Amino acid sequence: MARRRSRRSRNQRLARVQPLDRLALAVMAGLALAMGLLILSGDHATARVRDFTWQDRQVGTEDRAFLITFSRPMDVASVEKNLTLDPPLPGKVSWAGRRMAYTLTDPLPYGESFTLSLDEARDRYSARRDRPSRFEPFQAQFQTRRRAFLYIGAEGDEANRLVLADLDRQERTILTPKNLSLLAFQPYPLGDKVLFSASDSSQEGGLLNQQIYTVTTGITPRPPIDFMGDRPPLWQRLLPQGAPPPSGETTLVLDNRNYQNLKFDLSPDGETIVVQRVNQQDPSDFGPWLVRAGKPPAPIETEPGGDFLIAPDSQSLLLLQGEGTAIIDLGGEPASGPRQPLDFLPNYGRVLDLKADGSAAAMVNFNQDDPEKRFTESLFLVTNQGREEELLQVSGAILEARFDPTRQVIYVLASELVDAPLDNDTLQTADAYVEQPLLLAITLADGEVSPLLRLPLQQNIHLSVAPDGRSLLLDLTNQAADTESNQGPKIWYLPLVYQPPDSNSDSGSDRRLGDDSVAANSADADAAETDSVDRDTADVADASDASAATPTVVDPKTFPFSGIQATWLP
Amino acid sequence: MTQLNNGITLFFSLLVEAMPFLLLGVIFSSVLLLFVDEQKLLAIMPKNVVLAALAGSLIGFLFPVCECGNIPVARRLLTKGAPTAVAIGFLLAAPTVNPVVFWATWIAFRDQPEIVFLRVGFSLTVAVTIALIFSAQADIRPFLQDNLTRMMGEPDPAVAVSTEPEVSPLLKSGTFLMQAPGQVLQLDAPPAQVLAQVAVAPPPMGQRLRMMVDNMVLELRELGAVLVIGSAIAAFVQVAIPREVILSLGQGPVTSIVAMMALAWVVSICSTVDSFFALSFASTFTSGALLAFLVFGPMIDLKNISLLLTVFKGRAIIYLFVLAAQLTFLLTLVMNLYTG
Repeated sequence: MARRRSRRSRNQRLARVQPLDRLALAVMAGLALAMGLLILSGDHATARVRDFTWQDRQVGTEDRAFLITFSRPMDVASVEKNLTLDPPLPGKVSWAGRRMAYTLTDPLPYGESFTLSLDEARDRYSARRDRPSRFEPFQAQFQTRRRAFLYIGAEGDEANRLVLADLDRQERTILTPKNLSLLAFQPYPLGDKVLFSASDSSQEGGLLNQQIYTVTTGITPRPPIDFMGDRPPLWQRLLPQGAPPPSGETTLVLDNRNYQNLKFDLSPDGETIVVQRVNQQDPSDFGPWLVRAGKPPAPIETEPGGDFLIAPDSQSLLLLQGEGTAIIDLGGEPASGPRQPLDFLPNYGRVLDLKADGSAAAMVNFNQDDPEKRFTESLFLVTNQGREEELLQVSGAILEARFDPTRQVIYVLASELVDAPLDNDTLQTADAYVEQPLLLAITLADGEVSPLLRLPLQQNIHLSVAPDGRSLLLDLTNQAADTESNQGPKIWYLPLVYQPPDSNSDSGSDRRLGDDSVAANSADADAAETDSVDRDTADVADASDASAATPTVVDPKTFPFSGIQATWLP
Repeated sequence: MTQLNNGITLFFSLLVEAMPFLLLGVIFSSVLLLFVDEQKLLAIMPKNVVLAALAGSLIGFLFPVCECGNIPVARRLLTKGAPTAVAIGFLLAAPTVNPVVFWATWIAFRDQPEIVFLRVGFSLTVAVTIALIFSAQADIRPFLQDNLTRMMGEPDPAVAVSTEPEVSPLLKSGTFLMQAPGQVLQLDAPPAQVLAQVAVAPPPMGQRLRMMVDNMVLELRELGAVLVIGSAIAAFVQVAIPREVILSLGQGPVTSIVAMMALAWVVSICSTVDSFFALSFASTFTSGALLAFLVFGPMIDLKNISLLLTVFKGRAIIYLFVLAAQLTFLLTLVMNLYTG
């Protein structure tokens, strides 16, 4: 009995060694051997740049940083030492593992081409063990956008047509056909198209038949891929891009059937158009309409209002209503009834401009409530934190205000009442006044007002700040009848220089001040990118460089052509 | 005290994350049990071993389950008599090679699309290889838990001769049904399972649905309890060995893979969300190390070893574990050392 049991248990033990056991153990041994050999064979990988977000792209001022992704973790010091940008662009380097971010500290100059090169670098593994490493040298180009502006021509062939003037190539292109007589225009955010309103002389009805069109500029935008946002689908990236559309392709966006179009605004993202329309049969049917691609135009159900502006987030509309400004949501359709304003700013009768990051607005207070300030106008800076700060009070009018897109400066066209100059031909009362227009720059941090230019009297003036903040365009049209003076409207080009402050506080420390401004600008950039940063801290940082960024106009020039509404392409 | 808090948090998060998928797996398993005719299932299974392994690996596209949900399904496949290659292929590949995980990985690694495809490719390679190794064993039952072999019913006659059952079921306590000489059925087995083996004509729909629910509750109670224990062990190990310790194992081309595999094993994170977990390491680790995490984690981890123990004996689990680890290591090491 006992012998039988022991034999059985031995059989069982034998039976336990199954084919799987043998095979699995053999394979495991083989794999272990292969692993050993592989580890002994050493590292054969070559570190390389996987991705550079600005490669062969066209960048603008809204692009403040690029990313370089490496194939493996890199030795930070070796990359920072060998990375070159030609021409140089100062910036700060930060790392997140295999990714390097380079945040520019100065605004990008437009119309230039840059080369980024990294000839050698070490990966972290080889750097740690002090072994030679392989790195694939990297070189890439990127451009900034063209320095170009649009205007409505005044003379000859260009009369009442939209013209694109390219300062880099020194050429002008007429974009719109002859039968369209332009009234207003606004470029799309990438400069590839322009939205404009025009009356068609081949139609009847003169000014009443204003219609809204887009026209292509012939510029192919190649913006960098937004690494924060959603990537375009793979098929879109792989598909070859079609040939750029030729310049001057006009498309009708909104016709004038039943309704007359009065004024329009294009949202900063180029997706939404708001048009003030009035019913041709029923003038009380009056108000803003919303036009979006792929949807029929629809009226915005709200109280009737006047002047309007789409906010930088492209989701809300600032509409003058009664004696103040209402902020109206442009988002999804309201369930029922008119849209209720999100907010109402009772004191401000006009919004002149909004900062591109939406943090502040330049608004005009007509000072109706304060008897002492009657007949003056004030320019206010209203921040999204609810701070209201008076920047300027003038006895004349505040005509226009534009934020510098790159710095903490606002440019203002305003007028002061001055004694009228003696005119020999006409009789004047003893206290005759005229409005003297002025171009001013106000630094936002300390509210310092610096007059830039005194402008000729009796002019219609339009101001445009270059997207890189390095120049202004002013166009002046004499209000006195054009027929008398054979001078057409003039476009002035005003290069700006940001002068260091009078160096009485810190003589011989220009460099340090420069660095200061660098730090402050980047603080501002950070604040703009991550909305969560408290604006106040950014403002404090700005205060340190406020004096460093006072602009002055040097060497103004006029162009040999004339036109109105000269506006920089973004 | 904070360690206890951390442990409890980890325990519950693992449990909450895994339970819905276990439920899903149990539902699929019950559907398989009562609504899929095993004859038809076997008929569509490829006869070629390699094809069978591949087919098993791709079943995940039909049953999108993660590594906790696949075990009841794999167990059901085995008891239904599917080839070992199919079941093992499914067990190892299904958590990764399925639409949900593919999509999640794509969302996480959109700017490194090669990670997504290599994850699927490596998982398939490892799963098919191990499935082939396991199919060298014609009769897998010596490697399965006893209660499972009992549920598997009649073995092939040719095999049955070579492997005599160790102990006759009749020598155990319980109620048995003698169907034919040598064919014994334990009646305390769940009625649905008994019925699935005994009944020739399928019962009516309503009755089948009720039995399906019964079976689901039963399997969930059994596997859920095991999952609780597995999660508790995984939580305990994570508190005892913090992630930082594992990550500090190394950042070199070789050590980073070891570190990420150890991390994958310990954190026991579900394959549907692990790509987002891995994404946080994307900037510090090489692609090879990330892939090691993404391929090895869903196959075997601390939490699902307890679930695997309800199917396999310890020896088989060691083979699964070691082979999967070695193959993953080898594939990702080649990637790290030769492509960077």
